[in-house]
Amino acid sequence: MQEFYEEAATTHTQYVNDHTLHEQKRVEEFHKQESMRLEQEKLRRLLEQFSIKKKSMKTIFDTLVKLAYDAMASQNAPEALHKTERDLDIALADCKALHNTMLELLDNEDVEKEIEWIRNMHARNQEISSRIEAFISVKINDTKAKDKSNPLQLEKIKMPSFHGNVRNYPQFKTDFEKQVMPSINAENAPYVLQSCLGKEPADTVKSVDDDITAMWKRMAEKYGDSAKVADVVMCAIQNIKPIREGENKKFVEFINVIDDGYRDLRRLGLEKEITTTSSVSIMERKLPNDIKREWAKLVSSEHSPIDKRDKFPSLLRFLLEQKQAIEYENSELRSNSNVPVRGSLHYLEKKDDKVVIPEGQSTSRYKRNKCLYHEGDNHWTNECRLYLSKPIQERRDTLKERGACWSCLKRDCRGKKPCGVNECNRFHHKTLHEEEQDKKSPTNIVSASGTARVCNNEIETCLLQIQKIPTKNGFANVLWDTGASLCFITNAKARAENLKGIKAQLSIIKVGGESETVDTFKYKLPLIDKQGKAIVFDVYRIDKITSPIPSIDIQGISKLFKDVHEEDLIRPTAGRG
Amino acid sequence: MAEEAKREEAKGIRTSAKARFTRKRNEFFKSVDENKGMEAVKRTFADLHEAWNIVEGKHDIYMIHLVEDE
Repeated sequence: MQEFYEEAATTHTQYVNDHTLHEQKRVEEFHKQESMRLEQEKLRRLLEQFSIKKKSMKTIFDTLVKLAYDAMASQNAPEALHKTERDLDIALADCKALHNTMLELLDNEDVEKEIEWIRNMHARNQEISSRIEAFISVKINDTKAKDKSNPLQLEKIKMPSFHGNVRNYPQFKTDFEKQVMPSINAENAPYVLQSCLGKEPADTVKSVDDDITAMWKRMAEKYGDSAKVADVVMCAIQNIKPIREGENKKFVEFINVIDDGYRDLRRLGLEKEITTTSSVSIMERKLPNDIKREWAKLVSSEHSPIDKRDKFPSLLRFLLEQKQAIEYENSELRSNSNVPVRGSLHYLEKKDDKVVIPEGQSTSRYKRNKCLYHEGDNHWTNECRLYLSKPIQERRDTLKERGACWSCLKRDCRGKKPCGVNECNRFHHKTLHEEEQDKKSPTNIVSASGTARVCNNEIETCLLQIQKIPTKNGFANVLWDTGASLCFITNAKARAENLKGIKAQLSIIKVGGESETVDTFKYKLPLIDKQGKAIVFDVYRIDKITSPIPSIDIQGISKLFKDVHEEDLIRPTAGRG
Repeated sequence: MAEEAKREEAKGIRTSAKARFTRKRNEFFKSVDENKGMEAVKRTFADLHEAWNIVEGKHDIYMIHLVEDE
């Protein structure tokens, strides 16, 4: 029995072992099959993706082939075809790379199809490339033939140049960086830039002429200050003298100055400098009377579309329309050479100080502008009782104010003729003559309200009390006005000093009691005194305080004072803060 | 007489235990031969093992009676 039991126990152990082993094998087999299945699934997906890629590449290739045929059909430039050919080569290279990858994954049957596909692509590429080459060679031959037959050569495009005009700097920099830089290398760039500069800018960058970054930096410091551009633009507008009716050329120039100035400032983001009410007012004053009247009608009409607070855009539009009209009127085809040019005083003849208007030219306009005091009256300034009743200094002031000639007392004439009274050789009209002794007479000085009465063309200059005072960020040009009740600062200076202000309203009462309210800012401006102490002023921001300060020759003045050196008398120049 | 009757009874009990063991052994080998699966083999072997324990127990009792007679 014992043997029977041991035999059964052994059989049981054997069976269990066998079964476990079998089970393990089965599990292993299952895992193996599962992993194979996953591999196959992955391969299937990969093939699917490659198949999609293949379709996409074939589409690109087909499109490029079509493009090439279209370009050849429409006789496009060879450069475009060269590009298409290069793109085709790239597309074929992509196809080859994909083909090689697919060869590793496919079975024998599919490999045959794949090889057939790439062979087909190669053949098509070969065909289109040979056609493109043939087309290009024909084109080149045509061009050569044309060049041979056409002796005219296009002139080479000139390099941009800069001669130190602040307003031209932004345009020059943009042109150089966009047009010149892409076609030169970094080593040549400083030399090329220097060759584009005039004498003054070239001197500015002379010490750093081997480093283009330093050159641009140096030039930006000198010419790139946007506030300077604003000053130059506003100064150009202010320096234009009031325009008379009929002076179309001057008027068009004036419009161009405004238009160009506005464009320059807008490029720098400073268009507000020119669009302020005060700037518009300056421009309005310069307009010819007829244009001024037309503009006034437009502004003051009941249903005027013009924004009274921002008149500049409307004014610019109005002026450009006027310019167009003038250009149309003055075009060669429409102008009538028989019609006398309006405003030209060269049609006048002078006989014994009396101006005679030739027959046919005695228009109402000539009559209107004869006298500097009485517009429209039919007498000349030298015959005017009012003019003759004025002291000589006042006559001079009037001539200066109206921009009239000192020799003939008429506008738009700069002919110099000697006086002739008592053999006086100075260039002025007889009515402006003074004897030397009159100039020295103290009684005359008193009668001229403190102004010197001199018989020459020198212009009296009133020196304002101005001073250059240090601030936290540099210097400010300060005008000490003892009659002022408020302190002012210009927009540009407030920005330069990084001042943070609070909103304020300024009520300005002008001569005649006319009141104007202006929205502005109130700042605290610290000025540094000689002991280095900051004294804070409450200042209000306004567009402009005065015109730019001219330089004064102060040589020799220091000698008139004790213990005063020339450096102590240096007056600031340029814009005032 | 009484002792002999008890010994015979013990022997009869051992014989039936042996017969049960033999049945269980046959069942076990049948399940192995027919490869009825691990569960069936383990179950029949457990039954066989139990029957074997019983045989051993009944044999020991019979042996006690046998020794007492001598």
